[in-house]
Amino acid sequence: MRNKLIAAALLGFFAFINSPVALAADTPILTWERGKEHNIVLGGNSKIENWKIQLLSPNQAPLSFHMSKQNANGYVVYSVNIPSTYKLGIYTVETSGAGLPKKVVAGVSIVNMISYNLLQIPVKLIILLLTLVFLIATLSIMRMKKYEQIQYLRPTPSAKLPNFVASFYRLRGQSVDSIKKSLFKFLLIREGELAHKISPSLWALLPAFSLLLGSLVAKSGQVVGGVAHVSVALFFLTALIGVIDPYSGFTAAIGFAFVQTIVGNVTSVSSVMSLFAVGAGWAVPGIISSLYQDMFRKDNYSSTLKRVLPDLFASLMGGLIFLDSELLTNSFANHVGPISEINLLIPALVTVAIFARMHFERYVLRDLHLTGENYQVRVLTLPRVVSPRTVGFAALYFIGTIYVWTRSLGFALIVGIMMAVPISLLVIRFDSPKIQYFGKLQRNILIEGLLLCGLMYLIFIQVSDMPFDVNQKGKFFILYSALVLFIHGFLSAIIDTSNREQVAA
Amino acid sequence: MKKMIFFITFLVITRIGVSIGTGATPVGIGNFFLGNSSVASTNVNQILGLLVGPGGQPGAAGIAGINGFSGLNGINGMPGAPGLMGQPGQPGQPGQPGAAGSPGQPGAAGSPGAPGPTGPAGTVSMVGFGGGIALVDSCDSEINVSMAQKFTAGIFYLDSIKVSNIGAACAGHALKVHLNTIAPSSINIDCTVAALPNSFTGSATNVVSFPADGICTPTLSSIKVSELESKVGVEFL
Repeated sequence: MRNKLIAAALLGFFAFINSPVALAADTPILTWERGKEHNIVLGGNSKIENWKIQLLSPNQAPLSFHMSKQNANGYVVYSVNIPSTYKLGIYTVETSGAGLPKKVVAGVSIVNMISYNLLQIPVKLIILLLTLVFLIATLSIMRMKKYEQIQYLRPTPSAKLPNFVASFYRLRGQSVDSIKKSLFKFLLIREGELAHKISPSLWALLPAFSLLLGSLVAKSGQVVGGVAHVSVALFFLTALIGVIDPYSGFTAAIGFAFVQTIVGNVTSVSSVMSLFAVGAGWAVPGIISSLYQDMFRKDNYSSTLKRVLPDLFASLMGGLIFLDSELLTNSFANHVGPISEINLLIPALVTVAIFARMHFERYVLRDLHLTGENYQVRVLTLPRVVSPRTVGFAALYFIGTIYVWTRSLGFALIVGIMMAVPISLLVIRFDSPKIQYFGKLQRNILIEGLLLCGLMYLIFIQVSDMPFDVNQKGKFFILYSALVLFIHGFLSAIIDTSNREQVAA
Repeated sequence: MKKMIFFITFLVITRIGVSIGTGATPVGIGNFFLGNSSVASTNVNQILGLLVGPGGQPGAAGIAGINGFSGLNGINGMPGAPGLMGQPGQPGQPGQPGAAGSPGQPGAAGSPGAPGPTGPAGTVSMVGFGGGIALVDSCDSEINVSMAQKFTAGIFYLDSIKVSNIGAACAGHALKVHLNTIAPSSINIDCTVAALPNSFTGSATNVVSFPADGICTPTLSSIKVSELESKVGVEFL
């Protein structure tokens, strides 16, 4: 009898200790990166209108999942954006329905972000796409006749330089002269004028200095895409030099790329794209902001607005392009450690620096014609906004970017080409159709660009509520952006044709 | 610049080629773009799928549980609500008489004494409108009657009736004056003095004036002169 009692007690004990194990075996354990959006698909036979899902932990505030609209089969997708500052650890996913008890349906291990796939970070992706939409849409508008002429004042160089400096002076001049006549070359020369006005020696030596600085940044960084790993101060200093003199920003990017390649960090196309992104962050904000400043000034505003708006929006665009270059760099890089979150401090500082540069340049050049110095008025009439080579490069970059994010070559090819079409249309000019109404249309580059961005934002909000997972939604964001740009590019081409006909008449 | 870019491009392509070629994984478009990164193959960020099953049938009724323990004593109840208002009490006993008051002021003159026996029936004398002399048989043989009118809002209204030259024998008698208006209003007007004091009699200058010294029904000021009959009756009772 005693043996039977012991046996029964043992049986009960093992049944007791095994039941939680059996229960846990039925609960899936997921691994989610923080800083990204994650999804749970819910569906089945019962009504699911009132289901709530939360991510819980004893030490953290719970995160509630946002429910999408239902699809045709009655399934919904719940989404949660886990902040990049959320504590690492084990969490539980708890569901609760109307009149039903709460139930833990999964365990989640929150880990550091290990791949910066922008497709899974919708907020950043939307910022990037909105900037791209504004950029390409405004480039499409720049083909209009009223925007096609750019000019600036240039003092005639007359300084006598020491031999050492003179050789650098000649080197820079020859280097830029070797570039074919284009908008890029014109802007590169024009944006160097400030440094030249301050000191011809500075103008001559700054590219060499920034080449070394770029190399130093590359050496201090851990990997090729490690923008987050390099010293923030050095990175910002290089960006600042790029704002003052974009050519020097460009040479810094060359130095950075050279060192990264030599030390063996460049092992794939995506790492090359990362190099381009770093280079764009250093060289492009200065050029683009200057271009936009010119274009915005050609639109009709009140005199008060004309004093503020062009400088403000042009600086903002420069800052946004710098932010985008950081995002792209992080998304292409092959990270080997935790990825630091990109904060807005450096892009904001770059924006302020661009704004300050504009005003400083205006101050320096204000009395050029009164100083008795010789000066030239340099004018560029754009035969076309971009060259065929630029179109080819842009198409490849779009395809590569979309492939890296989506891992789908077909999707990348189709959407990349769609995005490149509006840029390719800038190379050609149609003879027809000529629509009379379009001929009379007065376009405003800033307002039209902002309206298009507003439209895209509304589309993004609609897509966010659809029952798709984060990767599918990201693909829709990219596809709709390409579609809107595609249509706008064609419309711009037709308006340009009609407008030129009107002006010629 | 062109040379620099060409040099870097050459360096990059050869570096990528070497990296891809020496890797253990097969060369494909994926690792050409992404390299031999371990990130691409990391199994993270899974999407959880949850199926909600159909609602089950209600289970069988459970076995009745054992009786519960006796409950604890309840806490004291709340104080009751205020009761209804009671019936009014009986009236109290009358109070004690008060102290004697101080002497009063001298009283007014007493009222006239009781009237004497009714005299012989009087007669009514009539005079024409505008005044004149009436002959009366009961206590006086001749009195004077006159009327005055007042012009108000375009109409003449009766203002007063005056009776004078009343003999001293009529003192204490009641005086009544009767007037009538013609159709359509046909109003009977009576003016009365209940008992003539001595001051109204015995002299031609003593005058009884209505409505100042007596009561007229209806008031004289509401009577249009144009509607008055030409006769006035005067009576001593």
